[in-house]
Amino acid sequence: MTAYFRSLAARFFYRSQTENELEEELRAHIQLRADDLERLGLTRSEAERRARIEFGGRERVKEECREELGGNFIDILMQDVRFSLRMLRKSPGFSAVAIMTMALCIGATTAIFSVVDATLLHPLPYPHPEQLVRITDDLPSVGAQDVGMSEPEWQDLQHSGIFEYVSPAWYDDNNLIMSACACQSLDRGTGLFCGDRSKTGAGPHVSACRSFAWIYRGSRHQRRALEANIRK
Amino acid sequence: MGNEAELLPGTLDLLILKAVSLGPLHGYGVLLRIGQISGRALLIEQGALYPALFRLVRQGLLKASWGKSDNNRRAKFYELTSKGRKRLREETDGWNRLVAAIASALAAQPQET
Repeated sequence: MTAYFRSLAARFFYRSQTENELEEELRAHIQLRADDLERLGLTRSEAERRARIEFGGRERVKEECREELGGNFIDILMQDVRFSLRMLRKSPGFSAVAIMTMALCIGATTAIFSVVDATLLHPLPYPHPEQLVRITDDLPSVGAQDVGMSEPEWQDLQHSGIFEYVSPAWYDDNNLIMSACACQSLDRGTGLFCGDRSKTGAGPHVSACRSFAWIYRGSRHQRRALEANIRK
Repeated sequence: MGNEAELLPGTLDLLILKAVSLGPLHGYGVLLRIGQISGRALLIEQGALYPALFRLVRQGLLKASWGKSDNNRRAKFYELTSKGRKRLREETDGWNRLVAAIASALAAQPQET
């Protein structure tokens, strides 16, 4: 492994030194070969010429050596990336269309998956969550929003026939004891409280309300435990 | 000529390891040593040697250092690492098994059944 990192460093951090050493190594090879040829009776210049011819294309050998250094795939990858960027710059119209198409597709897919995930894969733990709506009261004449609702108004909504059931609802922070999981644990969670539908017609008093649906900010494991508890 | 054998793919690395195991060598020395120990039967293309040496260094089987040749030229010398020694042993065993298997297969005679 250390040999590989050293080879990697030779490629990326000591590039010029590696090049020089490679050049020197190949030159030494040719000189050594020429020495031998000279010993066989050739003149020095003829021996060097022969040695160079025997060795063949030095640049090709160098290139093959470079390829054997560690991290060759990084170099190839960088070449590919540079090439693709050049091509994208060359035809900006095509690039724009391609990028927009991909952005749109990814966006649409994510959006669809988010909906599927929320409604089909992790639906809220009560029937027909898609029919659940939140009603707020605004007073546009005085510029007030979500001002709350009077009891007669609530009763009106309840008896309007539009909704199956209308209940006051509010968030609250509570300590939760989860006994559904094997280990009993105490946790702090935010719950959404609303009235029990068996209490239809009763005043919206806190005492008359029993929590049946929670939106709990916790781990999925904890939420499962909680949901199981609520269903009981 | 005549008694030269063609180098099988993958055997160059093994030959280099073997040549270097007999003592540190520079690139040209590796070529001479392989020629010598193979009885001049195996000739390595000069250019093919260096990529193989670089590969073996990268794999940690050889380590390189600069030194002086016999005739006082500066050259890069290669020697075996302990990992390289182990690899040479393994590859030699593997090669011997292969050769024995092929030899026995080729020596088979037609048999009465």
